[in-house]
Amino acid sequence: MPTITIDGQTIEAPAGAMLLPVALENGIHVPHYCWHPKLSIDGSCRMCQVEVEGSPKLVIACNTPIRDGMVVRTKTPAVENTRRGVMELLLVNHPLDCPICDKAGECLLQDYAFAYGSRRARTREPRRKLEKRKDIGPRMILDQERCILCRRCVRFTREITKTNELGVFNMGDHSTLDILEDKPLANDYSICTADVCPVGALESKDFHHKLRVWFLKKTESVCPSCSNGCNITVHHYRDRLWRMMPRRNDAVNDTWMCDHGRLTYQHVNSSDRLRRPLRRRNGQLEACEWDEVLTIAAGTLRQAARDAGGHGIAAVASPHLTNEENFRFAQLLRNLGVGNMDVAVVSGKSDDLLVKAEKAANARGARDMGLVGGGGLPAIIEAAAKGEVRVLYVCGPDLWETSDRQQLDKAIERVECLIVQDIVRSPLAERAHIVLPSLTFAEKSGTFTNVTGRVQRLHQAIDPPEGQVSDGEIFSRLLAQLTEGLPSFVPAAVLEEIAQAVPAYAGLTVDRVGPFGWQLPDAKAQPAPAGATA
Amino acid sequence: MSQDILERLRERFPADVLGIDRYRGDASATLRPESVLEVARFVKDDPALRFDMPMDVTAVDYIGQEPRFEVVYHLYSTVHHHRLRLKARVPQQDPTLPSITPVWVGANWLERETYDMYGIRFSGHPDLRRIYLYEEFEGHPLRKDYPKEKRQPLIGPGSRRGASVGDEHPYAVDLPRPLHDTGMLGAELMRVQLGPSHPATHGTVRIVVDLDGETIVNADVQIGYLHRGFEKECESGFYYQAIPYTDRLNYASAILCNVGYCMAVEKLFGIETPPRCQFLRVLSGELARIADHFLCTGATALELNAFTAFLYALQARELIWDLVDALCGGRVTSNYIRIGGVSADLPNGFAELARTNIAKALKLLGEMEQLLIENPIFRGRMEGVGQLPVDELIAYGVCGPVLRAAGVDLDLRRAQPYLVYDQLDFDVPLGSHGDNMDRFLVRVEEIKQSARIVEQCLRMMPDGPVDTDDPTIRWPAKSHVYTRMEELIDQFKQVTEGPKPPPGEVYVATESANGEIGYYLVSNGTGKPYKCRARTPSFSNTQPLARMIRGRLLADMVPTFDMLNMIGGECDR
Amino acid sequence: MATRTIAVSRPRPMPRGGTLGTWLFGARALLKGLVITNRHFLRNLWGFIRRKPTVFTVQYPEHRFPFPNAFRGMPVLVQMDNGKERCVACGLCEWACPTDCITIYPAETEDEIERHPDVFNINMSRCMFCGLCEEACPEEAIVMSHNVEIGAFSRRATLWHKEDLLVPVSQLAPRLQHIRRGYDR
Repeated sequence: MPTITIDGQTIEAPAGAMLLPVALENGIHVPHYCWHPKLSIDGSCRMCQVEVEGSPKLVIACNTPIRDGMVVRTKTPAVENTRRGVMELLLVNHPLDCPICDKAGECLLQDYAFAYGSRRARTREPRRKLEKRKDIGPRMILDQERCILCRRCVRFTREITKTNELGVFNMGDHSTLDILEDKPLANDYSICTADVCPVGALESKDFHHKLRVWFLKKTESVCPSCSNGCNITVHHYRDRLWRMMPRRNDAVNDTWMCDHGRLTYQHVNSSDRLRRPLRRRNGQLEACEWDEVLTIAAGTLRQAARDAGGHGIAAVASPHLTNEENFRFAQLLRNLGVGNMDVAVVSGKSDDLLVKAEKAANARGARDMGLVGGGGLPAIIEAAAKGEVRVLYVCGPDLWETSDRQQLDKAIERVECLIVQDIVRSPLAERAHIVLPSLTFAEKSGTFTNVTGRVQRLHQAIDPPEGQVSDGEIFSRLLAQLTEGLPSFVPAAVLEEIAQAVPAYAGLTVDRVGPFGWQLPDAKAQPAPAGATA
Repeated sequence: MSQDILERLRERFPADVLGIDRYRGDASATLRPESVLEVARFVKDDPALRFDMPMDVTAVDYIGQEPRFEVVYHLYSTVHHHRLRLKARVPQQDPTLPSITPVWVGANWLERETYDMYGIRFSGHPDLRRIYLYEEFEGHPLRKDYPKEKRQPLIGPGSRRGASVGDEHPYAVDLPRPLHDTGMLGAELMRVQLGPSHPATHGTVRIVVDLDGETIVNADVQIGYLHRGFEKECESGFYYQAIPYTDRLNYASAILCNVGYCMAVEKLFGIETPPRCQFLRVLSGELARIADHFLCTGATALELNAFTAFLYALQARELIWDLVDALCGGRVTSNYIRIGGVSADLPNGFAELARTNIAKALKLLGEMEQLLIENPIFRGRMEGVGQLPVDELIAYGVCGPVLRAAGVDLDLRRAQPYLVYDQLDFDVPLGSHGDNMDRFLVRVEEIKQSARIVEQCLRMMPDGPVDTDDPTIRWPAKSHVYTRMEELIDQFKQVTEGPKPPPGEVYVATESANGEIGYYLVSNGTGKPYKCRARTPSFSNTQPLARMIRGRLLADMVPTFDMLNMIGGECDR
Repeated sequence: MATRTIAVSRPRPMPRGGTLGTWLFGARALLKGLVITNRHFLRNLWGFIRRKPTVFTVQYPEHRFPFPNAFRGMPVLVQMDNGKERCVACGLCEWACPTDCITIYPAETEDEIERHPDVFNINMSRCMFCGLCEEACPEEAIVMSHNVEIGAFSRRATLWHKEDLLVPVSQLAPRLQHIRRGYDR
């Protein structure tokens, strides 16, 4: 492999690689605007200029392939001077918007101006006047004055989404970023343009004027909205989620995520969230204490198992819960001898970029934990309608969303005890006898398995409200009541149990999952779920 | 100079000195923890080193590294006027190292504080108990894994401790046993508390005394009633946010505390401020010193029942405060100095106002002198009271007017000049007896000398920029922030990320009103200090109080305590 | 360096107790003291009689003395001539405040200035009047006023909302001038 030297550091790099990514990967920071690891090379911003021995002028690192023996210097006076010059020219026409711009705190213009720019401004207000606050799409706003014409967004819409909404119009000093009148920036990945934009020109309407980024704390997690499992960073502050941004994982989602998934964080903050367990008394659902409701639930389950064996109980597992939680659920159901169980998952449209059909992050994981048996969902509903199911334990909202309402109504009518474990008080929960509040993905640690069989980690971002416990805790406590044991739910420990008990997950450890996930060794396409129709 | 100290140390202890450092000119040596006592003895006794004064003992929690804690000692030599920093690392499992109290008795309280805050145990310490916090407190708050917001209940009478000791008095405390268990005529000793709420202790402090009639047989000074977690608070904010907190250390002369801190941060950056800024710092610092000395002398008079002299002192202080107010907007909490400069230049007409007010203040000082110094009651209470031998004072780490009253020529403005003190012409008053009267006279004379310095500053004030010209250190000018892009960006970055000095550690000592105030800052390259330690003179000066009043009458406690000028905020941080 | 040490001059030793010297010594001290205090007293009495008080004490609150321009009282929000706050909820003051006493919820407006604070609260019981918020503000929207008379009867009343904090810009001219001058080089 060719060897190059950057600032005295010897680095080996593959032949043909460009200098800039090689430097960045080796911890040498070279400022840049227009270059992006997943977009084509533009070479327009001129910020990444460095000195290469033997070259009379500075070269742009993003478009200079490495040669064996190349000697590069990034800290010479010429380089510093050039950076100062580039920064000054970029700032000459930049509006004094920092106080009102959302990007402040994560703005590359601010960062590089502070680090590499000139200390004194040689120009004052006023600046050129272009359109500000331009509504260019259902989820995006454009401020033309702030744009530094790096063209990352243009290349994104051209190369990634292939929808070509954005373009730079006019030339030279009149260059302006804009959309065509009849073609708003409405693709499913439009907010990614706000991610790539190094300044605050493209802003997402969702986060517009919401909060200053320096308050936000960042936690790594996985998007819960579809089975692709895009790696994300959850941004939270004061136990609320404020936004989600994609995290780079070259094996799953590169540096992108879809708009729908990105905006899914809102359900975590919803004021409709169930906070306390409910129990039906005298026909009404009333709040009650955890110990009480879990004792009753365990008692009912135990009774049903005794009287009618495994057939008296049916379970619908949630594809939104983590592997650890579903594993505990499977243990609980096995202990009761339950045979009829399935995973209900909403299905929707998919595309050839990231969006997958299953609209839940962990349907595959739920199935892998063994939560499929008997004849599947249709069989469960049929059995319930016949009155054979005494206790129906439903986790998640997907059963309600995917079933035929009439059939479901008829089935529920015959069920003696309907236990619903969900995040909000859904119409199904209204019919339940016991309602258990569930936690969202942001409030728990664990793993999801995506559609290709990649196990990925979630980290807990915010604390659940006082008194609320995770689904894993709920299952553990129920199991403990049935087995007279001690409840325990520590996700890392349960992961080890999974590695022991589930053959497909043998060899799984927390370290192996790491920040980027672990592909299951035997990850062939999963067999179709029992009884699936779509 | 630092070359010789470190070389000599390494020569003598080749196996024990693990590393030496001269970052920013501070001589620093890392030792094997077991060797600390031996090295301490050597550096104290060796004639070329003669580190006779223990300035500070503290620790730094390098969580995540092993060994986790680094105990840091700062030493000073009154003979050679040089400094040394010794460091030793101890692991988390067993954070123990030998106490250096056999070498310097002043390390007693300092080690107690390190134990209290970090949990470091010092073997051989005569009395290792918490100093700021109550005994039942769980945990050690300055450790990095102790959350700042954690609350613990305060305990009161009827608590577990009061009940279990078996003593009727609910606030019983274990004092070192006195020489005799009974007093004259075979009477039992009477244990009485002075404080923490006491009209004659103008600072909250609790002095538990064993009395034999009116004679103090034994005393224990307990501080910590004004402990507000200065260090923890500074660690959780940016460098610039710590400046208002330094105001609240010695709140009688806040500007002097600001100056020390900002100079320490500037030393971390390795920069010097422009001449005009230095003159402004000296000027404002001396005004603060005058105010503090007026307070001390006046309050002493008050507590000896000379109420009128106290009011004159306060009137003089008001005049000085008018000046500080005009300069920075706050009379007591000044918040004047900034990293890399000062917050505002002199207002119009300041020089005139200063001259007028100082003249009036000096006149009031003259009247106070006449009221007090020849007064037999005052003299009877103050003369010959509160003395300690000079070498003991030095071993306690006592500094400032208290030490100068004992005749030791130690004033950092003269011994290790900083800012523009070497260009100024002033005298340092020294006493001869070391009693309270000398301390009083030294302070009175220092007021006059500070007035001289102020006058010289006003005359010699150069024109030129007031702040450093580096926007990564000093916030840009406001009028530019409103209208210019680069300055706006610099303001944003400065406020949101703080100034980021390169990683390293420094110790900067300046002469505050009560003595040496030293700031030990450790930077890890971010905008928040990793450690922000203030070595305060009141803490060291209050330590020998128990020794000073032992064997004396109860009433002698009052002038002795007042003349030490223990400012609660500075002592307890 | 141009410093030297001087010895403080202690007074001569006092006369031995019980002698005539002690009585004279004491009487002299007494008289000297009385002369000083009476001088003050009579001067002030004369001033009181002439109705031109020379006494140092200011009879607050009937008489107040003016604060210097630099004085840091309570922080207030600058109100523009159109009645709106100049603040654009940039959040720098909130972040700079050492005591975390400012709470801002930003929101969008339809005006030319597109951002403003929907909620701007200052917890005055926490505020230490340090002035860092004023220093951090890039819009000259929050300044320290000369108001210090803000005692309240309940803890809740120490939380000041945006409406309570607005002061018209015409009243703040001296302070604004001080800010622009003071930080200038």
